[in-house]
Amino acid sequence: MTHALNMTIPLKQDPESQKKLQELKRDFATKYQPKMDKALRDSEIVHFARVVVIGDKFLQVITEYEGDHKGYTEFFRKALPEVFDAIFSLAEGAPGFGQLDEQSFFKISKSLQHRSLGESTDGEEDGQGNTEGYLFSAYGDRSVKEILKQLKK
Amino acid sequence: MTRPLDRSNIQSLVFQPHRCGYSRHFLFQCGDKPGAKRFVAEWTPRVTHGGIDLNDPPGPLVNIAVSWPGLDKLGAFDDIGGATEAEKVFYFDFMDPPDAASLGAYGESSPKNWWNQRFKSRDIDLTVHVYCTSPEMLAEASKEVRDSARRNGLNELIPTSDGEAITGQALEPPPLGLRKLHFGYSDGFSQPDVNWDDDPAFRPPDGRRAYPRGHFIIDDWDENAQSFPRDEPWRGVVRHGSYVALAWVHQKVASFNRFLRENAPKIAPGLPQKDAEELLAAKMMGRWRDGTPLVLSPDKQASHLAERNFDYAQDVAGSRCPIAAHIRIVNGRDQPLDAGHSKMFPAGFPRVLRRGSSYGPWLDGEIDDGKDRGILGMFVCANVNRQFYHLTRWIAKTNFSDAFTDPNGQDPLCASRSVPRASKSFTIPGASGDVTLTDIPDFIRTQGVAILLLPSLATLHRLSA
Repeated sequence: MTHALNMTIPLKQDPESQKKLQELKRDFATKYQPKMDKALRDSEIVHFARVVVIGDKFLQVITEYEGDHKGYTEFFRKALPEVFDAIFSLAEGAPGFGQLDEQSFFKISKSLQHRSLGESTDGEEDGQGNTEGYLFSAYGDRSVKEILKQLKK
Repeated sequence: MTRPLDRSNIQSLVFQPHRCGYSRHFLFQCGDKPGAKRFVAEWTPRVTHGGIDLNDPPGPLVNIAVSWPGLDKLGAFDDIGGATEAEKVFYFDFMDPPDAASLGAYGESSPKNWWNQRFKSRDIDLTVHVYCTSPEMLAEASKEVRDSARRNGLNELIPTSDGEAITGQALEPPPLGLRKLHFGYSDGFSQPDVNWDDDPAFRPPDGRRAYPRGHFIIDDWDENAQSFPRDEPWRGVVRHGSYVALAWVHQKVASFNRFLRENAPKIAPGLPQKDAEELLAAKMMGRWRDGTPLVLSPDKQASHLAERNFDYAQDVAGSRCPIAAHIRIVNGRDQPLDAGHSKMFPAGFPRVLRRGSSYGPWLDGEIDDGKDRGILGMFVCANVNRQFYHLTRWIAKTNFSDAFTDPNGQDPLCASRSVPRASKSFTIPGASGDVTLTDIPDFIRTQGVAILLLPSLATLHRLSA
C-alpha cells in the first residue's frame, strides 16, 4: 500500500541559517542528490521523492512510498542521514539529526507530516484511526517491486 | 567485560517458556489506584523470577504484565511529570492500541472483532499469567487471583464465549507434549540464544548466533535494539522489563486438515496420501511436524535433528524448504534482507522470544466442532515496532527479501488472506518443477492483541507502593 509523505519543515530565518539554506540549494544536485538517488533506488520502497523549498520559509520532503509510516519511517532515518542532517540543521524547533533515535525521529516526522486534502479511496488510515488524505496513483496500489517486476518482463 | 544480570529482578517468562501443562491468562481492568496498587502488592511476592529454580517451583508460576493505561493507573508516572510527560518519551507501539495494519489484521481478524466484541484492547490494564502442573492447582490459583482482584476492585475482562479466562493446556502429556500445537506441529525450536550476562566469551552451541540481551530486555542503550523510553527517569520504569505482545489466535484446524487432504496429491502424487499430507504440512512450516528442519532432512522426519542449527546457504532456491515457509519468514537466518530492510536492520533479522500456550481441545478430522482452539502467543522483545510488528508485517506480505519473487506473497500458515492484494498462493519448488497452490484459505483468525510491559520486580515493587 502506497503512502504519501508530505513532510513540511519551517525553516530558521536567522541570517546564518538562511545562508546555509542557499548553500543547500546550490549544492543539492551534486552533494545530496546522488546519495538520495542510490539509497531510494536500491530500497525498492520509494516510488517518487523530491525536496522543495517554498519562499525560503518552508522546506518539504515529498515522497510516495510502500508500507506505512510506522513501519518505514525508520528506513528514511537510516538510509538518508546526510540529507536529513542537512535539512534538520535548518529546521525551526528541531534537534540536530544526530540526536534523533527511532522514537524521536518518528515523533518529529509525524509532527511535520501534513495530510493531503480529500480522503483516501482505499480506506487507508493514518494510525490514529483517521482516514488518510487523497493520493492518486495511476498504478492503483501496486508496489515498487511489483511494477519493477512487470517492467523487467 | 561481563555484566552479570540480576535474574531475580526479571520475570521468569523472559528467560524461558513455562513448561507446565496448564495455564490461565487473566485480563484485568483496574478500578481505583489504591486498589490496583494493593493487588500488585499482594502478587509481586508471588511473581516467578529468573532466580527461581523452575525445576522445583514453590507452587504455581506467576507473571504479571501491565499496559500503558495500566502503568498510568498504577501511578507509574506520578512522581516524574505524569502521563503527559511520559507520552513524549515512550514509543507509539506501546502507547497506541495494537496496530492493525502492522499486524496484517484484516477481514475477520480486524480489531473490530477482537475479544468477541466484549471489550477493547485499551481496556486491558493488567494481565496475570498463572502456570500450573495440575487442574487442581490451576483451580486453586485461579480462585486466589480472582478473590484478590475482587477485594481490590479489579474487573476481570473475559473474552471467551464459555465465560472462562483463556486457559492453556498441553495437547499431549508432558514433557514432549508441551511442545505440541494445534495443526500438529511441535514448537519451541530455535529460540534465540541470548547473551544474558554480556559475556564476551559467550558462544552458543552448534554455531548458533548470539543475541545481545538488549534486544529482549530493556537494558543499557543498544543502537540496534532502540528500546524506549531512552532516558531517565522514565527509563527506570521499564528497565529490566520487556515488552510483550499478547496475541489470542484461533486456529482453523478442520480447514487446515481439509487443505492438506485436498492439496497433498498435487505436490507429491507419487506418495501415499498420509505421507503427502505430512510433506505438505512440512513445506508450509519449514519443519516436519516433529520439528525436523526440511533443510536438514527434506524427505523424512528425523527428530534428532530438530534442535540442530542450520542455514539456507545450500537451499537458496527453496527446493528443500520453500522460500515462503513460515520459519523462513520469521527467522531468515543467513538469507539476506533486501536493500531497504538491510538499512533498517543492520544487525540482521529481528527476533522475538516466543512464549505461549495452546488452548482448546484437540480436533481430528475436517468437521469443525465450533469450539475455540488455538494459541495464546506471547512474544517478548525490547522494541515492539522493530521486532514483533516487522515480523507480522512480513507474515502478511513477504516483501522484505529479494529471495521472494512474489511481492504480494504471504506466510501460508499464519497470514490473513484479507490483506489487500495478497496473492493467496504458495509455491513449492520441486525436482520436476514448481507447484503453486492457489486460493489458500485463512487458517488462523486473530481474536485479540494487547501490547504490554513485563515489568522488572523492582518496578512491580515501585508500582505497589
